[in-house]
Amino acid sequence: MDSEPTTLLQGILDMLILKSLVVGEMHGLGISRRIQQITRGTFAVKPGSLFPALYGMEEEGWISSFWGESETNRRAKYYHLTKAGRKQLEVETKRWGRISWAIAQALEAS
Amino acid sequence: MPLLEKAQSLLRNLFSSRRVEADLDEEVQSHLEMLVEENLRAGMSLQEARRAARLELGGVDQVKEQVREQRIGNWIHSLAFDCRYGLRQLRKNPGFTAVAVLTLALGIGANTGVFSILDAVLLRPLPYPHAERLVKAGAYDLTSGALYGTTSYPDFVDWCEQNRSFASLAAYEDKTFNLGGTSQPEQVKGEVVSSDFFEALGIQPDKGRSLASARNQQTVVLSYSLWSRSFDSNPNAIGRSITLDGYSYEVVGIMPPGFQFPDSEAELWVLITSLRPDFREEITTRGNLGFSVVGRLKPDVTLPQAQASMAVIAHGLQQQYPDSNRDLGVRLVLLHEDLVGKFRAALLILMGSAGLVLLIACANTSTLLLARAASRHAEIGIRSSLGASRRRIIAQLLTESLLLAAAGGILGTLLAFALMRALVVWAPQDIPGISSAHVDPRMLMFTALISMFAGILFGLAPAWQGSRESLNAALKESGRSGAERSRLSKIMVVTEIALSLVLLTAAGLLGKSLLLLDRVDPGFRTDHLLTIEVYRSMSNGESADAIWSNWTGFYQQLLGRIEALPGVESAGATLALPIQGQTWRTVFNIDGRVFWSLSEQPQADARIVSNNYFEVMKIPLRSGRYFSHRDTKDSPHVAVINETLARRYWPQEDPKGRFIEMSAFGAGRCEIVGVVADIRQANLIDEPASGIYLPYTQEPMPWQTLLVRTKNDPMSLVPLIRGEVAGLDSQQPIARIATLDQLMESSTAQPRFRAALLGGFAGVALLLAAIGVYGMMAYAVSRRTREIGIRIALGARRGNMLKLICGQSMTLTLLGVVLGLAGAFAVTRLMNSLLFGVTSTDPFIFTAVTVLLCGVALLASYIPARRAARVDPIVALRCE
Repeated sequence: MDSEPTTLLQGILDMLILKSLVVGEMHGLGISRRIQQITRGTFAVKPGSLFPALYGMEEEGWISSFWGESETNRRAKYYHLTKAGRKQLEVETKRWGRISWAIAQALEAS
Repeated sequence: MPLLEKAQSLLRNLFSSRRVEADLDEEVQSHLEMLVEENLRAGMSLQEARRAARLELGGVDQVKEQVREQRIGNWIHSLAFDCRYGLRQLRKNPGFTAVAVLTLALGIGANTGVFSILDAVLLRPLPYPHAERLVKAGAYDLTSGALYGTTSYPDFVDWCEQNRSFASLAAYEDKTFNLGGTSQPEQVKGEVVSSDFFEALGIQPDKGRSLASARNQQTVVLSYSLWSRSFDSNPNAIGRSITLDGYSYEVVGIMPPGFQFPDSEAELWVLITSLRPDFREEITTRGNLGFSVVGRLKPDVTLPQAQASMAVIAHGLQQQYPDSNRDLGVRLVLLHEDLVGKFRAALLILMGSAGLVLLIACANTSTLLLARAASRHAEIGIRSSLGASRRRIIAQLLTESLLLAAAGGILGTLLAFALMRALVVWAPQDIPGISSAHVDPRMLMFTALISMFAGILFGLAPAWQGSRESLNAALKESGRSGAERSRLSKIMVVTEIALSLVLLTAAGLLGKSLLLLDRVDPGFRTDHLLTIEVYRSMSNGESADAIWSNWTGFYQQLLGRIEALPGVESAGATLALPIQGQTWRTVFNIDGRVFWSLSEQPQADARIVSNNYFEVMKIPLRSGRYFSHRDTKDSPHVAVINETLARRYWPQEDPKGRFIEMSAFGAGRCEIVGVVADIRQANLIDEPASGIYLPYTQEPMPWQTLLVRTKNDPMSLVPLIRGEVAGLDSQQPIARIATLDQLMESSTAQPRFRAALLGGFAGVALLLAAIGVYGMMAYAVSRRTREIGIRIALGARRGNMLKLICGQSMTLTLLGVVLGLAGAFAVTRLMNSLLFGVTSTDPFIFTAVTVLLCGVALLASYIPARRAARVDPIVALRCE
């Protein structure tokens, strides 16, 4: 229902961030490394894209943040998924499924 | 992004951006350090690790900048989306949108219009530099506390010499002049002022110079309007000569166009010291409280400090001049307060009323939105089941309300333009600053603010309620939310009725005051009476006989000629026209009685009149006789008193033949020859005061208002009378030509204006309340069609249905009325100063508005009730 157009790339990044947070709360660097890990190194998210996405998603209410301590006892800002975030992940996943299927079809059709 | 969060995020951006920035700063910093740690763990040297980390991060400031851009872009993007969606929704329901926008426009327009006047009169500073330091100083009676507001010239001179609080002090007094040496002789109002006058106000002439720097004493500064009228705006007017009361003055300066001090009637300013000897005598008398004083406080002196130091000076003068200054204190009032203080109550009440109209408009729009939410609940339910958060839905609904409010605000501004133009023309012109009311950024900002306030106010409850829809409830047609919606709209309607009742009561009280004021018997006949002011210039160094023939002789000759004109019934003259606020209070003694203290000394209002004044004005004689042609300057001095005075000092006897004595006007000892009925002299409101009439044949005065009683339209005689005046003295101007009826009407212009404006607001309120009741009942009936159908099918009579629906609306109406009566009871007390002849709890008005409101509410619910009674059970049961 929510038809706010999200650009494809933005959508992928948001989806990957949401996905990486499914396992639990994480700070920015953790998210970045987690994405690298789950995409087997295909996506290396630079802070220049990561932080704008995080701030935007927090304002959308998909994730929320708090200040905590990192594994090396450093103060770090942690993010975790909200209920709306989980819903959004579902929406994005479905959408991505459709898109990737359509693109695969298109490429095969030639 | 939901509006609430957007607003939160915007607020964060606006108000706590430093905190957000710090947050971001710290986060990016910790990210960088964690990268370094990671690299170190990977075995890099510290330097390498740092370099690699910075490389990956891509610059701390760049990252922060990207975050900022993203947030702002996001915000604007989703706002635009919400607006587009909202506009589409509003376009889909043009009827609803039109009614809501019109309703809001009425409320917002009324507020904007009244605010523009309130702003021009009360809020905007006076047009003088550092006007907040301008203060009026005036004497007051230490024993009674009565404020005279003026002082004597010698006291003013002492204040100037002794005070340390004022940078400058200036005295001024109104004076009428006959202006000559210009295109045509004319009577103008001017001010005699002390030399620092323009310096104290901080305004210098546009052209030429002020009076202070003039070497010549016989100099005059002209107003812009007099200069354009008499000199055709000729810049060479500076240095030219004009005559004032026959004396030559040199024009030294022209004031800028907007300069109006002390009021808009003042058209020229001359030095006190330039006046003839007979006026000088007036200015050397201590105790002659003729002068107003305005002063400019020094920058570091506060009003209380200045007040305290002036009290010391006044105390010194009391000791030094006990005869004249005993009991005289000095009171300082801010000039702004002095000028506009008396309009504050009325303007605030009007502003409050406009505010109530807006509240009612909001309540009305709320009910409309609630009814509409009913038809939208399926849409909202589906949206929420598809994952839209509650905040998201509230935000969307609020965006729609704000769009409505914005449209209402724009239309309201247009309405306010029209209203303001009407108000400025129609409002009594004696309200200072009112003509300067205009559209400006302040006003537009006010409109924008109240529109936004209104949008949130009327949108919040329906949005909150609407967002609670769940898909479940949406699919079940009449869920819990339906009941809640109608409860909310009931609250709105009760509010509307209560607020309307308050407004109606206030308007009713003002209206009744006005009616009573119009019905006051002034004690004389006002119709077919023409009034013309004829001011004879004093002339210097003449004998008493010459003065008599120049003044009274002139008037007698003129009145004789006028009475001979066709269409004239009779013609007389008076020094002080009634109902114009003009009184000449004077103390007198009564032969054979001793008054020990000043406060016991009898006082009365002295009225110098032509010998046939009572006949012309049709004031009845109670005993004795009127003045006659036998009362001449050579016969014994006589006086006629009014009933109030007679009752006060001769309660048991006829005062005819008694003697009174007064020094004012050189009257001396006079025999009372008659008692006449009371008239209202100063104004219509005050009860008649003691009055003494003296014949102008015995007490000549150079300043009379002619009263011509005519058979037909009084104004048609003006050219003939003008000709007679010119025939006697070609240099004699006439002024202030009006019928007494016109003067009476303009004396009630302010109450009329207030009552009309408040009445208009009350009318709008009543209309909106009626629409509110109608809308709510129509909605209720449509929702209950099925239930009503069943009841009718089961044998309920249609009359019962009518009763059921009307009864329901009456219950709400009565609840609103009870609340409104309580509110009105609390609020109308604030209006006491505006009321005349009625108390603020006048039972007639309270009853009348209650009946009126109930009647209108009944009528408004009758139409839906009749529809309910006509429900066809078969159709009703089938329709769902």
